[in-house]
Amino acid sequence: MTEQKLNRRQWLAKMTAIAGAAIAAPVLSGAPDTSGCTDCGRCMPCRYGVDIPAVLRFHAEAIKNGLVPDPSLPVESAAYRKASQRYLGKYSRAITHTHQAHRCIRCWHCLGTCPENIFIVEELEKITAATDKMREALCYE
Amino acid sequence: MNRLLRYTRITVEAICALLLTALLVDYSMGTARIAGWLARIQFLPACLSMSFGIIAFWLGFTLIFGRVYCSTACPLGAFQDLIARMPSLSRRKKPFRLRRNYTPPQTAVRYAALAILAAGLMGATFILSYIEPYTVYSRISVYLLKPAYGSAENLIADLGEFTGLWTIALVNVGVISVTGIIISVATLAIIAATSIRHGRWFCNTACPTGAALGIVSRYSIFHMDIDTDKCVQCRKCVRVCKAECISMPDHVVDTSRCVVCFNCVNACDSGAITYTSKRKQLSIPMMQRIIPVGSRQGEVSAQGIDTATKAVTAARPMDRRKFLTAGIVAAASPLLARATDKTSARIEPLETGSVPLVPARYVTPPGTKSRNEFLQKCTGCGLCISHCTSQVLRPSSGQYSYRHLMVPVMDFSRNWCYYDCNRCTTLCPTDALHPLTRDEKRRFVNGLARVDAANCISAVEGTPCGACARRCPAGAIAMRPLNDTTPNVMPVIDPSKCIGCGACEYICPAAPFKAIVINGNH
Repeated sequence: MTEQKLNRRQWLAKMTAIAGAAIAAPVLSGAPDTSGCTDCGRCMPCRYGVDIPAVLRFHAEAIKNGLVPDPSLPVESAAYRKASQRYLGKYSRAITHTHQAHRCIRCWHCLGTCPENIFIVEELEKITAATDKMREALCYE
Repeated sequence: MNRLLRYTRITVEAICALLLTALLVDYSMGTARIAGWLARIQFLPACLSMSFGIIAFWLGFTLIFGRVYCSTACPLGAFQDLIARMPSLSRRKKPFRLRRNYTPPQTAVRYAALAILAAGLMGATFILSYIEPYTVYSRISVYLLKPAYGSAENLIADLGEFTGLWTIALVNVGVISVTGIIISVATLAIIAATSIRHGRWFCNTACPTGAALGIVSRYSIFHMDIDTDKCVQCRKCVRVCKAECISMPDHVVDTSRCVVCFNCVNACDSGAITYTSKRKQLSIPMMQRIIPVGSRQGEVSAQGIDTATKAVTAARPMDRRKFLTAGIVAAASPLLARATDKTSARIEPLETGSVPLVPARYVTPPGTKSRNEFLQKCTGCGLCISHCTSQVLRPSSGQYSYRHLMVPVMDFSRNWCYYDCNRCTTLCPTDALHPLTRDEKRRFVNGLARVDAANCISAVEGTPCGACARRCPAGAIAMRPLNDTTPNVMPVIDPSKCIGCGACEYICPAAPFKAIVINGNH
C-alpha cells in the first residue's frame, strides 16, 4: 500500500538508504562480511609473517558461525567479554600470534596481488581493530 | 566431641586447600573474588605485606589454640596430609600412616629456618621463597597443575563443540616454563618423600612459618595433654601422630611441633589424650629447658630425662651459635644485594647503534614502587603469572639475577601489558605489587621505550612501517624524519607519555633484535 504511494524520487531515496546500510553495516561493525578469499596464496609470502589467507578465512568463517561478538554490546559487558574469549581462544589456536592480523605493518607489498581484488591491508586493519576491542574486553572481568 | 573436632578440622582444611588451589589454577576472576582472601591470610604474605592485623590474629590464635594455622589455612599442610594418605589407600593391609613414631626435634634446622624467615623479612626473600609453604604450594599448582587443568578444560570445550552440546571458551593452558617445572618437581619430590615417610617433617623442620608459630605454640593455652592415670600405653596416638611429636614412655606432647590435627584424640580409646587447657604433663619446650646440673647425654637423672630432652640438650649449645651465625649472614645478604644492585644501575649498557638490543633492566610488573622493593617483597608464588590476562608475565629464569628466580618478569616477545588490565596488582598477596585501580594502571609507568635506529626497518630500509606508533595506547611515539638528507622516518619516544606497556616492542617487526625495547624502572 505505502509503496504504491511513493513517487519515483522517494523510492530511489529509500532504496539508496537500504543499499547504503547494507554496504555500511559490515564496515560499521568493524568486520568484513565475507572474505572472498580462495586461498590461492598470491599475496604470500608476507615478509612480516601475517598468514593472510588463513586470517581472512578464519574471520569469514567466524562471522558465518556467529563467533564474532556483537559490536553493539558495550566492551565492559559480560556477554561481549565471553564472546571475545571464545573468539580469541579459537583465533590463537588457529593462527599463532606471530602470524595474526595485527602483525601487518602496512608495507603494501600485497597490494594488487589478489585476483579477487580483496583490499588486504584494509581487511587486516579491520580484523585488528575488532580483535583489539576484544582484547580490551578481556580486561573488564 | 573429639570426633567432631577432627572432622571439623578436616572439613576446614579441605575447603581452604580446594579454594586456594582453584584460585591458583583457575583463570576466572570469579574464583579470585571468592578465594582471593585466602592467599592474603597466609602467614608469610601477611608478614611481607605488613598486614599487622592478620599477623596479630594468627599469633594470638596460635597462643590460645596451638598451631591450628598449619592444619587449616596452610595449603601445603593439607597437601602433605593428602600425600601421606595415598600409600595407605593403595595398600590397605600395611598403611604407612600407622607407622609413625616419635622423632626428636631438629632444633638446629628449625632455628636456621627462623633465621631465614628473619632475613626474608629484612629483604632476602630469595632464600625464603624456596621453603615458604604458600609459595612452595603455589609454584607446584601454577607450574605443574595449571597446565593439566587448562588442557582438561580445553578438552571439555572441544568435546562440547564436537558434540554440539555446550560452548565454553578455550582457555590458556598457563605458563609452561622450564625453570618453573624443574623447581616445582624438585620441591614436590622432597615434600612427597618426607610426608610419606615422616608426615609433617617438613613443617617441623624446614618450614619458617612452622618455626615461628612453634615458638608461640609452645606456650599455647589449649594443647594436647595425656592423662597418665587413664593412659594404657597402647601407643595408638604415637602411631597416628603426623607431626611425630608424642613421646610415649614419657607421656609428653611437644606442643611446639603439634599441628592440632586431633588424630591422636580420635585414636585414643581410653580417652587419656585430650585437647585441654590443663597441664598434667610438661610439654617439651622448643627453646629453653633448664637442665639439672651434672646431667649429661646418656646419663639418667633423678627425674628420668626422656629421649627428647636429651636430644634438645645435645643440640642446644651448637644451635644457638648456628642461629647467631645464620642470622648475621642472612642479615648481611640484603645489604650485599643492595650494594651490587646499585653498581649495576650506574652502568647503562644500551648505546645507540648497538645492534643486539637488550633492555638494560628487565621490566617488572605494574604496581611496583621500586625494583628493589619489589625484589625484596616478591616470593615468586606465581599468582599474578597465573592470572595475567595477556600472558605477558613470565617466571624469571635469570633476567633479574641468579638469586631472583621465578619472580614475574614482562616478556614482550609473547605479548604486551594490556592497557586496561589491572588484574595482577589486585591479586598480589605480599603487596610486592601495590593495588592499582584501572585509571591508575593506565597511568602507571612500567618503564621507558628506547629506540635503536640501526635496527629500525623504516629508518634503514625506508619501509613505511610505523607499527609501534600505531599500536602505542598512550600515543607516545611519533614518526619523525631520521635526518635532513633522507626521507626515511624513525620512531621518536615522548618520555612524558610512555608508560612502558611494551606494545611497541611486541609489534616491532625487526628481527632477530627489535629496534625498540622497554627499559625497566630502577
